[in-house]
Amino acid sequence: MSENAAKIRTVLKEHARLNRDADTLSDDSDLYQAGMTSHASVNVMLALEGEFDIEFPDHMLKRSVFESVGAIVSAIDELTEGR
Amino acid sequence: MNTMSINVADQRTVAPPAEAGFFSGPGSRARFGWLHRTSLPSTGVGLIIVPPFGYEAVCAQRSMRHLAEAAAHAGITAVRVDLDGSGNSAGDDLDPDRVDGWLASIDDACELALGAGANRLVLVGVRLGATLATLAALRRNDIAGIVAIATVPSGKALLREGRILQMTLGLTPAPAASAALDDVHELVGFALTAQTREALSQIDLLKLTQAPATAMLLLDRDDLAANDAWAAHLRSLGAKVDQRRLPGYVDMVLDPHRAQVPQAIIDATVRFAATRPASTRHLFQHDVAVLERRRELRHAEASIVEEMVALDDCLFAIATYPLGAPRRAVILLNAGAVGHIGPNRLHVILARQLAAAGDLVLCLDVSGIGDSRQRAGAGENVVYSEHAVADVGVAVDWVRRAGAAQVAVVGLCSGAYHALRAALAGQPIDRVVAINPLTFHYKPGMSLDFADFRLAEDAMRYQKSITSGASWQKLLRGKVDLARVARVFLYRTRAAITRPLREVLRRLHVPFGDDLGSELDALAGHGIALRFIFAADDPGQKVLMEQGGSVVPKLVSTGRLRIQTISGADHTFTARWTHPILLDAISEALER
Repeated sequence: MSENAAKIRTVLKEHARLNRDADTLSDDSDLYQAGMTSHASVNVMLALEGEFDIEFPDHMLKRSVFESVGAIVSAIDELTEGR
Repeated sequence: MNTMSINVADQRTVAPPAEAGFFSGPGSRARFGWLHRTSLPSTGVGLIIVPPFGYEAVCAQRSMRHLAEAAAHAGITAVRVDLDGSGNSAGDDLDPDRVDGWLASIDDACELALGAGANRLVLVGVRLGATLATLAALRRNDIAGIVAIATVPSGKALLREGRILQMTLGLTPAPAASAALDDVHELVGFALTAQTREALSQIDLLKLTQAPATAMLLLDRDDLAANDAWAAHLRSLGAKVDQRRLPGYVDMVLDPHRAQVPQAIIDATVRFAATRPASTRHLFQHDVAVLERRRELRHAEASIVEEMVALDDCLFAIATYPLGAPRRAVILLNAGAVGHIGPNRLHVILARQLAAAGDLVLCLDVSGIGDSRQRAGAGENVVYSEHAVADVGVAVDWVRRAGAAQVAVVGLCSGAYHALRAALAGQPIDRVVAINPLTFHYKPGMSLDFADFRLAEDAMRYQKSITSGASWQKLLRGKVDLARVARVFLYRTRAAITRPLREVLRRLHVPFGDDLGSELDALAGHGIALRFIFAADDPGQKVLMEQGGSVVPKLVSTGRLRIQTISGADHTFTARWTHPILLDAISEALER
């Protein structure tokens, strides 16, 4: 598991209110089907911004970007590329 | 002026409670609120409770009431306010000058608290409410303290959070033909116009140039970074700031049936308010001898009246009615644990529309929900309460005594269930409009995991997935919960097998338990018009067709039961483009 993926799972554990342990989800498991509500996903996004010191641009503010660990990793890799 | 044509006043048979609703503000712009008087020796403190915006306010309504009650029990006079254009106040989100209107609402509440005997004022706000409380305090010079809960000091950041939330809902976009307003951003069923967004984006509490109050309690969320910069800024302006991170905000704004009252936040707020030192300034004390319980307003070029009514010692409702004799009564029931304003405030809009057309409309909170007390021994916020049917009966009796010859009961989700159950209980109801019912036979404690609507929902989803390549790939990768698929298939197969047997028993008039078909038949036989409205993807219609069996098409063919389906809507009609469609559907269901 990459360092980013591990950090993301920690954020999910604290904010996503999943109905199962975030560590048991595969990278493409649907987080919304795993119990993450829309309100919880906002908290996840804000926590990710704090954790990675980033700001998701408007074009990334959509459901699909936050629907799985893998999708979040891709978005964060894109935003932190070149650091 | 006494233009009231229905016999409301004579029906107030109970003593006014410690808390009382009121209308304030200019005549054409009534603002609704609640005054919670203390029965203890007063501390002299008036606590003005400023709610968050939109859906957050809907979710936090119960917590705001608990806060007011806790304050009253600590010797504090508390005022809850529906900000201008929200809740039961006049106007709506699309009106101009929202921020000014909201601040004026807080001013009204301050004056009312002073009029009720308070000699110093504390403002408490949640999220946008905290921002507004801060700005309102800057306009006055008599605010002894502010409690700011889960504040987002930057208006731009607050708007951005709203935008994120709206996008994650994944709502069906408006069809091209619908009249969407270009400058409106939706926020979970509510709206922010370009003017409102511009006004909010100008707000930055980190740039205040004077302290809004000498003492401030910042109650930050415990799950995100604290507002340290704002706290430091306020201290630099000379405010005495107590900053804490407390749990409770996230659970307070869960969906209303899941929302939890944040006791730690309430306790801290009340302690802070109760210990504000007395002001050295002389404040005039007035006495509010009479709270305005009714207001006349103009809607669709008609004059109508809104009045808060106590139906008994538990039940609260807002009655909206025309100046002339009403043609019929329409009772609107809670959708789940959403208060009497209805999902997305649709009950307020519908009530005003119908009253302007001549109806007496009762927006009811059943016991234990919204602003109605729970019955003795019953729990609070229980959606499928065993008392709900009797509560509907009290409301039906009230509107009958008010002169309504015809009575329709309208409800969404659990409201639909209670409307049908009340009719089945023999209450004198002429028409039921059931919107998105999820169950027809609720059993206390029933598991929702394998409830009929959940099974129907899963079956609908699996059916769609059959043609999806991604779903098959997921299956092949072992990412599908096959155990659940198997259980759903098993339950559905069992239901399919027993369905013909139930049809035979029904035709032989052999009674069996939970027979929706016979129940619908009986209601229709009593002349009760049955009208169903479903969001196309909601599972309730499938449940109705399966459990109602052959009775449903039979009643449809004779017009005694009608079904309308609305495509693209979610369970609670969150997307604003669906609102007029739903309102039209309800109006049609009430007429035809």
